Amino acid sequence: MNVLRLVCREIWHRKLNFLVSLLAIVVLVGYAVSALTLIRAQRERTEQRVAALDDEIRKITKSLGFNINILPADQNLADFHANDFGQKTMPFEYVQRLAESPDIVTINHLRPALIRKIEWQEHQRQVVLMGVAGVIPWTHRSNPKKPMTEAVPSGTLNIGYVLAEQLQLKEGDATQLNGLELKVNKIYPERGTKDDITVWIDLQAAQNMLELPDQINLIQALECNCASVDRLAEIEGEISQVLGSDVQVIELATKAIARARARVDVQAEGQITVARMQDRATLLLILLVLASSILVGLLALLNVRERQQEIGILRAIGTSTGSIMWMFLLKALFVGLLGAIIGYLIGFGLAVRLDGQSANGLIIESLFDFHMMVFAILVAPVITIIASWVPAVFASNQDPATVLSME
Amino acid sequence: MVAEVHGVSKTYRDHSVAALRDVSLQLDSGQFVAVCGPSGCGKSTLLLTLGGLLRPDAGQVLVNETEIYGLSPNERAAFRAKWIGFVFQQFHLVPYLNVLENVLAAELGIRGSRPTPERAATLLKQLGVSDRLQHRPGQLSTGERQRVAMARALLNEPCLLLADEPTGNLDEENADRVLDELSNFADRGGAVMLVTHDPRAASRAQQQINLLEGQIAPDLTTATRLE
Repeated sequence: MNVLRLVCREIWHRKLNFLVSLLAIVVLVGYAVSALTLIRAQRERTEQRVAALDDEIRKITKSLGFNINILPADQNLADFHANDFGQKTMPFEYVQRLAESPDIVTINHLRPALIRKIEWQEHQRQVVLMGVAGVIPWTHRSNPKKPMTEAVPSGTLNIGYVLAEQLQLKEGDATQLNGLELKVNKIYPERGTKDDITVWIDLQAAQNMLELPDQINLIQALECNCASVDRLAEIEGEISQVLGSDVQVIELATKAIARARARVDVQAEGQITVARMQDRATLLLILLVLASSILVGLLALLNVRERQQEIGILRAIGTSTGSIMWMFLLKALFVGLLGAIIGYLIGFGLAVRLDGQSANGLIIESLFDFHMMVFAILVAPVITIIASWVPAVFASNQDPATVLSME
Repeated sequence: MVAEVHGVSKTYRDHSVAALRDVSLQLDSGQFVAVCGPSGCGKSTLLLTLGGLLRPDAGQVLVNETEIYGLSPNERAAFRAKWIGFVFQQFHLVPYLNVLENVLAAELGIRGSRPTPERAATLLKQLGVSDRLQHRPGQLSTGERQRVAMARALLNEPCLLLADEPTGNLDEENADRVLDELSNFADRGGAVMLVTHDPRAASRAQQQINLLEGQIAPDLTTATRLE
């Protein structure tokens, strides 16, 4: 005869007491596991959506990178967005400083421009004049990427499709732009944007024409590639190291930006949902731990009272206080272990069912958490043992003489 | 000397009544003593005190030359398991254990080598309940229950057997059988203290001690060996 056999026999004899305690732990563990699994599912789903958007962003930006505009710090952005260019100017020297700085690593191409809306006097119509200097070479880069745009050769102009059509200009034609003799170098295909009524000439020619020597009002930074998701901040950091607060940086709206914003939104939304679920689960879990602990403790106390005579005689025939205590704690251990296993299985099954895995495409294996299972199997017995501790001490401290004198 | 009680007194705090007053007695090997007296005279208190279950307010209790109240509670429990057997009127069998397991429950307090199930089965056979080994106490007659309790008390081969009204719930035939076993135990060299109201049971003892208001009544105590 040993304590283990005694405990097993007693459990079998007083099944109801054991089953009610077991049920309390099954409910506790089941709820905890289902709640944590649902939270895990939510997190995984968010991660999947974020990963899908990351993938899209990566695909979009793989060949192109993304583009930003560097503007004078005092440029009103509302005006800029209304006209697609700004009135404020900055020194051309800025772009040179950027090109010469070893701190700029994320930008592949720098293209300065001076843009103004002008009256093309010879044709008596308004056009957008864009003075460009092609791509500025990097001083510190050993293998600069191939420039994605080329400069407009001096003495020539490039022209948008609609403007060329209206003015009946063809490539190679000679024309005059406010007294400046120019040859049509290139007619761009129709884009459906302001580019269709834009004239591109050499930057210096534009500066002279507009009487803004050495001034530009835009630096386009093209094919930027950043490691971090918050890439604008990363580029701003690099630029501010070189130009301080003399400029401001805005990102050109692209598909990649839309995806990046969606990614941030999805991640934030997922985090909020998870946090909300965690808050609710934590509160209910605390209540359940308390309720089930109290129930297990009360049932253990009831068990002790019911077994007073038995404890008395066992003590009388020499069973130690430790063995008596162990009898109750071992039972609590069984309740905790069995409750944890059953509760885990039920909780996990319930979570999978509630979450509708097939609809969400998450496989059960991805939700199974070995550590959570081990945690449940370790923690539940600790809870039942703590809850049964006082009754067990009470049992072991019972005076056998008092119990045996009660007959 | 198997057991010695020297000047033992005990007062229950809640009753403020002296259950034992300066009681002294000795139990030698092979001695079968019956303690008699009216209800509340301190018989059961004396038995519990001698059994190491109730610490006296004053005096000494030695069993097998060991001052049992000088031991720690767990040492005293182990000492009881090894040297003292108990039989009670209410049997106090564990309801969910079968007969054999109830007897073997006595080995729970034994440190070191334990009695074998075979010994338990042999004892039960001697007591005439060998056909009931797998039965629960609820399935036994009162006489059978007391014999199982007796086997439990004898399992660890104690030197002292303390019996508190063991025949109180039994018919004459079963009572005789239990008293026979107590006598046999004494004959084998053990010491027996039987607490009883029953003059017929007391008559089976070699010596009768009468307690009155917690004291041994000298004029009523006989050291007469009863035939």
